[in-house]
Amino acid sequence: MAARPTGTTVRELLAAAPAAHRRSVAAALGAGDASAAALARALRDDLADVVAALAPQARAAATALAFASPVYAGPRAAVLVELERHGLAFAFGDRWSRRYVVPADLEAPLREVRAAAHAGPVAAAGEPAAQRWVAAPAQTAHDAAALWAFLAQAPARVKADGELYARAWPKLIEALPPIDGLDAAGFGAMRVEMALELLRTSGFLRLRVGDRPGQEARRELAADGDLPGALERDAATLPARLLREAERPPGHAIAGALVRALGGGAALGPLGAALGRMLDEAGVHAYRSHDDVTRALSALGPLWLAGALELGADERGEPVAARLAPAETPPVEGPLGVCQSSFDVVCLRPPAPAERAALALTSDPVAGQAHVFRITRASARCAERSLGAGGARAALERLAGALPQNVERSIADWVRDVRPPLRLRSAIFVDAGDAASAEALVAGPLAGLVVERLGESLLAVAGRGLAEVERALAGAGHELEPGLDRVSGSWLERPDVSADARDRWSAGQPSDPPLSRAPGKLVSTLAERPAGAVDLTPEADSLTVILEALEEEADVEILYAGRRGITLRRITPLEIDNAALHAWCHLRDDERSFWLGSIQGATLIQD
Amino acid sequence: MPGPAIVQSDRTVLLEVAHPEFAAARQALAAFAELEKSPEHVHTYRITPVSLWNAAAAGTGTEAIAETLVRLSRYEVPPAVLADIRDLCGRYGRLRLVAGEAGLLRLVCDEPPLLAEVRRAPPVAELLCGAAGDREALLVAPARGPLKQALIALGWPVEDLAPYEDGAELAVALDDELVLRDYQTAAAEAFAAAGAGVVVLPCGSGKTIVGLAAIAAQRAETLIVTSNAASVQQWRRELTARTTLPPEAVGEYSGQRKELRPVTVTTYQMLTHRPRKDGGFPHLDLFERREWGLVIYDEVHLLPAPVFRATARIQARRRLGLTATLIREDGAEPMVFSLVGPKRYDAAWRELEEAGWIAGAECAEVRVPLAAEPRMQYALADERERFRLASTNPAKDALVRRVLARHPGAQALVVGLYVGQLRRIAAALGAPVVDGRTPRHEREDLYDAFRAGRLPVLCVSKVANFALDLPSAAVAVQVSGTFGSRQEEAQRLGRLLRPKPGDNRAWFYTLVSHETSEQDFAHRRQLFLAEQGYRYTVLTPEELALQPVLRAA
Repeated sequence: MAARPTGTTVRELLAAAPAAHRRSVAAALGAGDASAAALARALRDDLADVVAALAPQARAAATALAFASPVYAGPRAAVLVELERHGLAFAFGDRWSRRYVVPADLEAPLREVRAAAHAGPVAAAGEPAAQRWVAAPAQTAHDAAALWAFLAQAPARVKADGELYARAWPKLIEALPPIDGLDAAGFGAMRVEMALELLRTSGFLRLRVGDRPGQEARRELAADGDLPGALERDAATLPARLLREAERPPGHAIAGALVRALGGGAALGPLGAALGRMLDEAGVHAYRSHDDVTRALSALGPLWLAGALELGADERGEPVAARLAPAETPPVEGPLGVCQSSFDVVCLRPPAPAERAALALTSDPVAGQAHVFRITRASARCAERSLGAGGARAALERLAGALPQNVERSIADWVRDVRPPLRLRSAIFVDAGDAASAEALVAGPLAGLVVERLGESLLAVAGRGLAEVERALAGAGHELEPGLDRVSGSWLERPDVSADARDRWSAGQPSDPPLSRAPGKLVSTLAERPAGAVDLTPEADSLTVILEALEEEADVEILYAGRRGITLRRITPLEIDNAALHAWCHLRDDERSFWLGSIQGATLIQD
Repeated sequence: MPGPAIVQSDRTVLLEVAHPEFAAARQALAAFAELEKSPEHVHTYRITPVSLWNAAAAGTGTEAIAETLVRLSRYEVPPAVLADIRDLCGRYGRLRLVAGEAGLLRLVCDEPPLLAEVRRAPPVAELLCGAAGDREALLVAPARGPLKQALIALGWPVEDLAPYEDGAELAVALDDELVLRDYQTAAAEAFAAAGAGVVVLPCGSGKTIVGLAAIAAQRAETLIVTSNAASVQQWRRELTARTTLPPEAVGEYSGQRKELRPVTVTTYQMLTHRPRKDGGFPHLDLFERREWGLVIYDEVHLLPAPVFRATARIQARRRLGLTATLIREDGAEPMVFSLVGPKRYDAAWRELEEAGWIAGAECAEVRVPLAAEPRMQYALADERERFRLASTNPAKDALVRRVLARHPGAQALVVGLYVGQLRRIAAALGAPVVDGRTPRHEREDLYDAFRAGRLPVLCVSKVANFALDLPSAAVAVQVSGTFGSRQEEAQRLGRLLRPKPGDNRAWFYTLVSHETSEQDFAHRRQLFLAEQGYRYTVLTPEELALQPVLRAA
């Protein structure tokens, strides 16, 4: 799930928009003129009215956005441009992709309007006929807990752009706790995505770069921090937060609004059909290959996993309906279960998410037995590594009360030589120029962010906190000249980019041809670009060369800033996917992926 | 109050011991599930096809089982589990074997389509010799066993209502002085009412006596098959001492002696002995050499495949299986069910222990560090050698004496894998050693002396330990040895569980070298023993010294 900026409002957008854009919005809203005051008047009323007054095409465009995020401009450009024209979206992006986002305060009204328009046909299908209802209270937290513990034991390899390799998914899916009473097999990938997203946004994942001699550098996604502790602290606010996360992609929110509008619940078939019609209207291709039930499940799954919904299952355990979940029961007090001298931890009540994490970290699940976990040498050592000295025993005692004497002894023996891993941390220096400026920064915007001062003007900040430093400095009006590439990866970057989005506001140039993922088209787009319209950085130059090479099936020599320094390589570009170039690398004599941001220069080789 | 049980989707049931409804729930569950693990807090029961058929054979209805599970369960019972139970339970009794005319048997079924289906299955078709309408098929008497086998393989256990042959008569009664315990009487009666089946009683609870009661009730010539030579001796002793049978009526059919008498005791090993690897089993016809009215299978969970085949041929004779557990490591429970018979009786281990019929057992593992010099040797050795070095850690020698000093007056066994180590320890303790080379008569003399209480300590090697029946031992110290099979471990400890004078507790010590591969082996034993419900403590030698001295009464 890609990052989306949140929190920007229509007013903020309009205030920042170029005059031409404001005029077109004013016209659409029937405001007298395009002055800020007139626009504010037009927007004074309930935004739902504004939405209702808008052209159906704009509503359709909003739906398009809802089901595809990020939205790359391209086939959908026309509806999106229309949306921008109505002040219902803004676009931001980098040089080869652009994302469109609905302003935060418009999301709910848009959603309600859509739900009202489609609730009728869903309701007409009648009461859902389910054999029984299955709830998944805070399932995403449980899943996150299990995955976090899994990654603590076995970090997953990631590609240069931070994405997981395809082969990691089945393993992660297998690590998820089973859900009783429902044939939940189809949810696996969705559960993993939701759980990783929760871990990522909460900062419980880190990128570990292995450096074993004689091996290619391994990038691994590993667990970080004290998740059980954090889940325990956040227990009260967790459900609300999960719901927020699950509702963020508007596609899910629209489906949820439909279920809410119906109160008593909806049969998945008609619900999926209604969603399908919405998508057709918007010309969106998302979920096109799905049948009605699967489409509804794809849109509702995250809400269900957040504990907002119950799924109705038929007698075979297959989901056929959805309804609102009743309020969650308060957590039970007392230890979760007991530890037996046979090294089994038996849960006597359902675990809370924090307990799930501690359980998954300290013991191994027993196949087919959802309530039994077995303490093994490996699990005890893993817990000790992650939780610090004495951590394995303490965590088990919290879960299961006093441990049997033989278990306590065995654990003590097993973890005797475990030391928590040493961490390699990166620091970045901010050069304040002189002592006085450095002093002012430490006392002011960078308070709490500076790890160490070196000499008079150098301030060391933690590498992972760079985004925060950037924001703090920008907020104080300082310009930060980046002297380094940032470590990037979609699982690692924090998603708060609304400021970024505002900065790169581009609605004023609706004629800007959108960039496409298709290399051929991109080349032609670049060629058509009026001179001077775009500042071609060296990076973009490299891209042009690579795109040209792709067209001509030629080789390129690139200057590549890899993890071990800069290398000059001859490559045969094969495909551009997101921010990565897949190519045949003549240096390694193998297929490799290159992060486009790290290609420092490129020259076409004319054989 | 939430229910005491948790039903899991792999058909295991967890039962909370501390729950106020535990006792009632245990009784209800035992009717259709087998106890698999019984550690201190939560017991694990497993529902299997055979456990359900046992329940059905005992007259427990499907809906009663489902209702019990739903009532006991803390959470919703997985629907698949209930569906499986309904399906499996419903299979027993739909096909029945009854007596026919002219020496034939009839396979009866009220559902013509089902009968038609099984009749067409190839292994069944060739065992049937005709039909009488669409609800009956005919078979000759010798096909009785193979048919039951074939049908259970198809998932259709037959209810066998055909009559038994009475066999040659035998004048026998129980000794007047023998007083049966309540559970022994109940077990013998439950068996007598059925004629074929299995009695499940814990180790040390006097299964042999149930066998004697069955013989006395049947008053017919009996073949007893048991698991080892020591057990043969035990049966012979009990038969002559506790029944009115004269010694000459009791025979031993073994490697040494091939006696065939009104009551004959033999072993599975003997029956399945083959002079040539690809040849037949010359002793298997023992089942047909006399008109046995009763065949007793001791430790029926060890019954080997060839004996199943022979048993299939004697389905008209009464059969009693005795065991401490129905769970077999080879998964052949359905064979025991169809060929020996359904479970007729079982008793809870805890209740017998509370009543004082069997001893409680305490297990302790003492982790002995390796001294500097052997530690270095260990570090440099290969994997195989390491285990030997760890096992024969010289520091263990002195510790044996300290362990024994904790139990003055109690008789003790010292068990080891390495004869050299055992001799060293025996010499230090002034105790005799029995190993594979000790002549039989000498061995028997030593055992007799131990049984009579004249020997306080006996050192036995692993080989000798297999065939040991020394009920007076209250303490066992294992100084070396690998983890055997689960049954082997259970038997080894089970032998210590005969009631003891005083506080009625048996002690099982394992000496293990600390931080060696031996400790990893010991971990498996630890898991197994804890699963069986024994208290397990891990001690350092220093802590052992601080333990209170336990004086035998």
